[in-house]
Amino acid sequence: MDATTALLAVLRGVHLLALLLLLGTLVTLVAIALPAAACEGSPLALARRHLLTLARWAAAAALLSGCAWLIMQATVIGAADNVPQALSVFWVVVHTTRFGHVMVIRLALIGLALPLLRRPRWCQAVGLGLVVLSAALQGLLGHAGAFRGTEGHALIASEALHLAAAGSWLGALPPLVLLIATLPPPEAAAMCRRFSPIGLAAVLVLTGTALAQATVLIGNVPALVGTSYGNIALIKLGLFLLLLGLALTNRFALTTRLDRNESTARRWMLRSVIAETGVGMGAVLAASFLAASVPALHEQPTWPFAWRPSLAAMADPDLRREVVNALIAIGAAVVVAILGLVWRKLRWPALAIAAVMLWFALPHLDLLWVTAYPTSYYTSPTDFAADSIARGATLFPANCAACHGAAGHGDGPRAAQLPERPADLTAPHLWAHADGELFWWLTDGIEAPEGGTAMPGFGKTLSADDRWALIDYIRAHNAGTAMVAADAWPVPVRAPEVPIDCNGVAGDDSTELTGSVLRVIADSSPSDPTTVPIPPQHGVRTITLRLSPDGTVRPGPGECVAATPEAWPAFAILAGLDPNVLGGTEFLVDPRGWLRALWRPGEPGIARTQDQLITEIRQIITHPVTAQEAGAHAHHH
Amino acid sequence: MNRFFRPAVLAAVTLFARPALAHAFLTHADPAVGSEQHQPPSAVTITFTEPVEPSFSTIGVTGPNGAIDTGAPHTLDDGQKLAVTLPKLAPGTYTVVWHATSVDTHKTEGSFTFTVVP
Repeated sequence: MDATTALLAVLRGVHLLALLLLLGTLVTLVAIALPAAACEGSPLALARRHLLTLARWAAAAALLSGCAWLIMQATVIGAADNVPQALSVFWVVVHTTRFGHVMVIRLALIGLALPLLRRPRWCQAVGLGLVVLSAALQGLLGHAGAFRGTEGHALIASEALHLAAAGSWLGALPPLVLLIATLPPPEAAAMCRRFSPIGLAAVLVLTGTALAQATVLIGNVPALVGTSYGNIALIKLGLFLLLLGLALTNRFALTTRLDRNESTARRWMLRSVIAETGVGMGAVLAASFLAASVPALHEQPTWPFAWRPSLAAMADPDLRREVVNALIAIGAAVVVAILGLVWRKLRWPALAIAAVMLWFALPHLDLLWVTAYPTSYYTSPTDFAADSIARGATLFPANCAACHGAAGHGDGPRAAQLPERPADLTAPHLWAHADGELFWWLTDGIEAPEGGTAMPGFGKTLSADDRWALIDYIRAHNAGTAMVAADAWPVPVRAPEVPIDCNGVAGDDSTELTGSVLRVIADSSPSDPTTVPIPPQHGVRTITLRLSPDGTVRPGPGECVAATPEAWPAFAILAGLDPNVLGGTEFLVDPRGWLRALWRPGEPGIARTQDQLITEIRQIITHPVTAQEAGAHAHHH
Repeated sequence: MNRFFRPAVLAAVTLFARPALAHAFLTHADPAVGSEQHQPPSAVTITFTEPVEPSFSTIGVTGPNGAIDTGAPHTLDDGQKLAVTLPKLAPGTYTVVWHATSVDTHKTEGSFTFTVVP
């Protein structure tokens, strides 16, 4: 993150802090420090006057910091180098950009609320409404606003709730400090208790909305621990837990002491709420830096540990028994420990037995951990594109064939000199490895168990995209080899993504046709292709996607053609055929994008009738690939 | 190298041109990234992962004879597509350099090429 981005994040943070303080102070005035109890000249009446002053200052700070943020952000958006440029850019940003519009509305709402910060409580309530609205716009100023459709609306709504909750809790802490410092202890304790339900509601809303945001913007554990966005989110989570601890202490330990008017109670309560305020400010700043960072979903997560959890061992009956026995032993140990805690007489013997059981059982769970690499959770950026598969095919002979062999069987001319026999890339075992693992080996190489290099790394000689292309090719080639040998793909395989040109069908890309069955026809003589259209089956359309050797065929009505010549060799590799004999081959792709059926020319099955084809299509629609079958290859989305 | 793989090598140079750190990523371009066009395209349209601000997003096209006058870009599809119109292009390889400002104010950039074949 560069200095400008960091400065923008700080400005955003300061503005948010002022806005949350304003919101929390108004919540305190409207719902906590109620005027009914405040007769003229009472400490509460005095405190309410101070709170109004605090609200005015907070509003002024929110306006000023908001203007500063808007100006700075406009300067950065417009890349202005000097003041006149910055001024002209400022107006363009205010007039034409989403950020400009939303910020102007927010500042106007705060400006409208400012004159309402007066004595009558209804004025304060209306002011609170305006401030909540202005805070609720936050989603439109950040990542949430850049999402579209239902997901985007949900994120914006969730961020609005998040801000309102943060304001009602964290923003109300400084006013609470003021109340505790100025009111007699029992009255201050009453204020703290009145704050409790608001705080509790805020914590629940914050947790729920944060989970929703994290699900979309971070997505999974590797992204949480392996990206800078995820790491800032973890810091924020840590601060939130600390806040929660402080809040619980305040509510359940210190409020009672304050109520009893204990001598040091007020001092401790003040210290604790001030600490809570400080931690809360940290959480808001962390949020601002999150908004300035690239969301984890756009980044490849770097796995920081040498091990990762894996259920691969559970596929082996012996290993599965070992893991299950260990889990049973651990469960029994926990039961024994609980019994010991309950039954005082046997406490120490029981705890000792539980410890011994754990000591012997826990190491067996090592089976659930496998070696991991920094790239273990990388996902291929290629979408298994036809272009990428074809490019991998051009890279394989020069870079891989010497050891792995021209056909990938691990029998290249140099194989005999190596300490380890090179992997047979056509073996089904390939599918047990995730893309990220293959990528690490291609990048960094593989060490032989007894030392030395089993496979060199290509990180310095091949670009990352070339390495991903090789992985796509190796998978496609593995599938094609199995198709020739066993007449079936070894695992469900994705249809390659191809750019398409359609006539009467919407879409630029074959992935946009998901939801329909694709009938992919390799036409070697596409001068006048005629295919009888297939009526919808179970409400699902069947679209014909035509391939031609040079990618120049035109689509017939209701049909698509591959708009890249790479589609031809890519599908040939998946069929295990030489591109020169692919003509006449047909593939069926199911509505979720899996390759499901293949007819090669000259095979008896190719002379099938329209009815047989329809039966096959209905079968594909009614029997989708399950998540379990999809397995390791499922991440080619 | 056979005729199927020739364009693949061309694409190899340009295909995966991605910005290093950014938010509005290119998801699709028309003419396609690294593609060969038999008909000169009349516009360059780039689809992004997020809506972009047209006032602060640009598409520059440079051909064999220098920069092409495309005029200011406009957005389509609720801001998710950015487009410029092209004059009739002569055969040759064209480089498209794009700068995008997403509606969440984050900036991205990238480039790709396409070729007009006679």
